Amino acid sequence: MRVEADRLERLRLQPSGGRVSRENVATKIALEALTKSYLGMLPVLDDVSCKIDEGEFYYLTGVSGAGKTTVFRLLMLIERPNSGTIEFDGEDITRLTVAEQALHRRRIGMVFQDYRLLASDSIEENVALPLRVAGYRGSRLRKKIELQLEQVGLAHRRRDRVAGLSGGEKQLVSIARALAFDPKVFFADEPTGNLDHTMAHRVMELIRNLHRAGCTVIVATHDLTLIRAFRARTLLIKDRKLHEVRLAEQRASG
Amino acid sequence: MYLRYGIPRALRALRTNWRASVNNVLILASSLAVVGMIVLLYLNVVHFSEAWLSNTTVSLFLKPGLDDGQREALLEQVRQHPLVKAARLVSPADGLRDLANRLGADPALLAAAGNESLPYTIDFDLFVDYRDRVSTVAEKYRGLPGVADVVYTERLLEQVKLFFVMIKAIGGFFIGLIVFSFYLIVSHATKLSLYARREEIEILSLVGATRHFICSAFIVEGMLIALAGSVLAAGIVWLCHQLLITGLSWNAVTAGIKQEAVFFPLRSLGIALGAAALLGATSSYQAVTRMLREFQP
Repeated sequence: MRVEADRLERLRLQPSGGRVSRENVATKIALEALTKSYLGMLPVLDDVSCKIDEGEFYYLTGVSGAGKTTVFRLLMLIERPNSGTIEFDGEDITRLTVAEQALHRRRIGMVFQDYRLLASDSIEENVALPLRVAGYRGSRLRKKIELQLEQVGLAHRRRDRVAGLSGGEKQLVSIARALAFDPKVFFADEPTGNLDHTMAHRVMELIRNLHRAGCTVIVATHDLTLIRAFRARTLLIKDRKLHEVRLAEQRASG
Repeated sequence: MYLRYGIPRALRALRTNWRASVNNVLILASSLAVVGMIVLLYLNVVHFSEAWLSNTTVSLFLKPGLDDGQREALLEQVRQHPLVKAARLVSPADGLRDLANRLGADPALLAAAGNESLPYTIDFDLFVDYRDRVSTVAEKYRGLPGVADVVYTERLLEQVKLFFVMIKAIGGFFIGLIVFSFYLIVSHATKLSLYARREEIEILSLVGATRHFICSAFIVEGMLIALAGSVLAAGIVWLCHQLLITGLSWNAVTAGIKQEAVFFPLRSLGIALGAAALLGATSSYQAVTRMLREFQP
């Protein structure tokens, strides 16, 4: 019981309510001999290993269906690997219990390709969701929502329903929600996939700012212009393996 | 923390799916009203029987044709019994007056019957401590010359007891059946709500909500549906009770019931509503936890 309590305590995110700093935010991620296959199919990832240091910015790229989303699903524990380990700050998260799994997700800000927003709710209700889960309430909750919406430039539309927003605006709401409780790690799955050039750059600037504040960031994309515009280290998923590549190599590999 | 999220979320879900919510409340209310009526009937039968039990009056119906002297002699004989507290001779005229007083509503009906329709009776009461010996004392007078019949509470009670057993058996079966369907209805309503809000559950789960946090809104929702159904059922039962009592008061034969009929005491009603809300919450909780295992990421 004591061990269990200690593990929960280590996972528990203390909502800072203020600016993030490198010391208390960044997280080191390590995948070791990771294999994931779906029932009756070839493995999507086969014996994959890699280390992402704290505060790093990585692109995760590869052709459609290569397994980019699967990597995120494994890191978020939406899926469990068939074998191998996933370590966050030296702790193997594949062994977390259901209660610990919830706390693990609170240190991650995740932007999904399909936004995963509550369409019938207002913008502020969507942003408030992770904050309520983390125990924010009253004026502290309102201030935090205000801050997040100002960051993405949607403060004036806080009461608008998500269903009436454009794709780009939905993506901004999704980012505001992901950043709500100052995540240690930020994942974005094709965050600019449905956006025009201007909106894509705006979204990428927000993500870059988060990285500058010390957050470990992984952005899945197959948009090379984006990778060229905002240069960072790149991981390529090819033939069920993960390779670190330079931009030139990536262009050569198609 | 859970309720701060759960209550507004549950209210919102009920408002959004108001048709389904009203439907569930009505189904619950109608089934609970049936339970309520059975329980109320049982409660009244128990109440009446208790009133009878506390009554130690024995009536000796005298044969017609006795003269005053013979009637007085019988009365004296009864009065001399050591367990008899008081005894009195009731003439047909007094008997009619007593009956008119008891029925209250319609003395004209009795006036038409005339004095001859009732016999002379000797009514006597035992000392309270000897209540359990009513039948022994009463039966002693059966067969005495001049006594046509002996009527006392316990004989009536034998028949009531049989009625009791029947009500208990039938009522128990129905109550069990309806409590089980109550559980199923709330559980089913929660499941439908869960399917409708599957995406919300997934999103909550992705932002780090614990199972208890996710469950909270559904538990509150189940509890509110159960509570609303129970309150409505209590209202229906009360209304039926009132209508029945009002109707009975115009019937000369059953007029006495009006004064004795009881409704659920407020405390019991409060406990019943609380129990219904608890049952609603429990069935919701079980439905949610079962289904969360199925589709929570």
